[in-house]
Amino acid sequence: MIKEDPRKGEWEIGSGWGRRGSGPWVSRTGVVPELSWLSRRKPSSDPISFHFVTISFRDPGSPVDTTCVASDGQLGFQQVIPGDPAAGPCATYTPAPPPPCYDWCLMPAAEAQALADLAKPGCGSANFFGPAPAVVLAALIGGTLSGTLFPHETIVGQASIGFGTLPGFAAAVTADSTSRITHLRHVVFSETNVTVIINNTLDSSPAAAYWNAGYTSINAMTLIHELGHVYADLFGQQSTTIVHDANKDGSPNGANEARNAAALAPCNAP
Amino acid sequence: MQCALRLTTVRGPSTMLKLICVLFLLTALRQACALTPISPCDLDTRSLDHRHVAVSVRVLFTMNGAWTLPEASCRGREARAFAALAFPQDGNPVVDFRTEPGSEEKLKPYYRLRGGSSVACVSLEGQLFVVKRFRSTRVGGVFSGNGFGEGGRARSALVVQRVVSASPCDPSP
Repeated sequence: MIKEDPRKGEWEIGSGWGRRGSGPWVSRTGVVPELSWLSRRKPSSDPISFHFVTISFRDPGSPVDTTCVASDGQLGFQQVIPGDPAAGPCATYTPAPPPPCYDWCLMPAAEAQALADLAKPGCGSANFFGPAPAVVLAALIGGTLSGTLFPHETIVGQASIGFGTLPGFAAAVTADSTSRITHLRHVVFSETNVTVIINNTLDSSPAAAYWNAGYTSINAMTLIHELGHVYADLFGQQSTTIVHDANKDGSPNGANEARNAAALAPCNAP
Repeated sequence: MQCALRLTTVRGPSTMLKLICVLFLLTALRQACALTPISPCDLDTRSLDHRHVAVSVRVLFTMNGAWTLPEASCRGREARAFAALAFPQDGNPVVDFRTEPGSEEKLKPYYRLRGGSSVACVSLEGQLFVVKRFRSTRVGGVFSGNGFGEGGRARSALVVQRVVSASPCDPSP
């Protein structure tokens, strides 16, 4: 039973008293309180014994975006609270920024530049022997570089290229794994898998020159350099002038990298 | 000794045992955390595995990585006494510290991301990792090993915690 309290203008709900509000009523007698409610007993001096109930109203709901037409005729959006006829102003959409170009997104430009560089005098023909470097590079990037692509070469294996987190001092690395089956100390089967990993560090400072800095000419040189390591692994060291920065025992050799840089200088010529 | 005797008398042998255990643990903890100054020739020493070390060493930077260089004094160990440089954020090997701010900045002038190489004389502190059963093979011109750095060709890795100083230096030992 609900009736109005003539003294305070409140509503009685069941056995208690509640305040009037715009939201749905909740009380201890019927509807489950949505948030919380307080109750206090009137002083015993009051001739009428009852509860004053403070009721928390239901959450009217979070504002939602709805489409509208702005004053300039463009499609916009406005915030509307469910159940509330008043709506916010109609604002036009801000165009989203173009998606950033990272990793593979930069590959087509770098590949095109690398192919152009390889065609320069003293670059492709002087540093890669055997299969045409342009074909090998395209197959490496396209994910189709395997032994079956070169039936006249004595290779069984494949090579792939990808991106990953590397130490800050490395632009790229070429890793290799070779599986061999031997019989009486003779290799009867050997399969080589080469993986080129390009450092995808996001550092666009001019001195950084990582792949994702977006310098096409530098990225092209990175591809050509790593292509040399792929050649060495798949076709043998005699197939390229590019060598690892290591001696035969694996110890570091900085002079090798200086030779690589000199060998690839014609590729970077204007 | 007097203290130990007194404890034995007053609290019994179990208290002394506890004290010895605590002292043992503290000593082990101190050994694990203490900075051990080492020579560049010691970078492949198994007993230094996981130890925090301080070393002054020449470091070679190329576009494929960074390696410490053996010294002329490392006679007979030139092929072993080097380590791949790494940073904690690389995640290999995993460490429980971060590089002190500003440390990598000291090394950046020597990075050679566009090719070529540079050598810096670096004084640094870090954690050393040495592979127990190291294997490395060379097929064509490429290395394949179970160690660290490009192709896993280094038996050891030195994870940089702090670069004290870095200056240009002679590439030859």
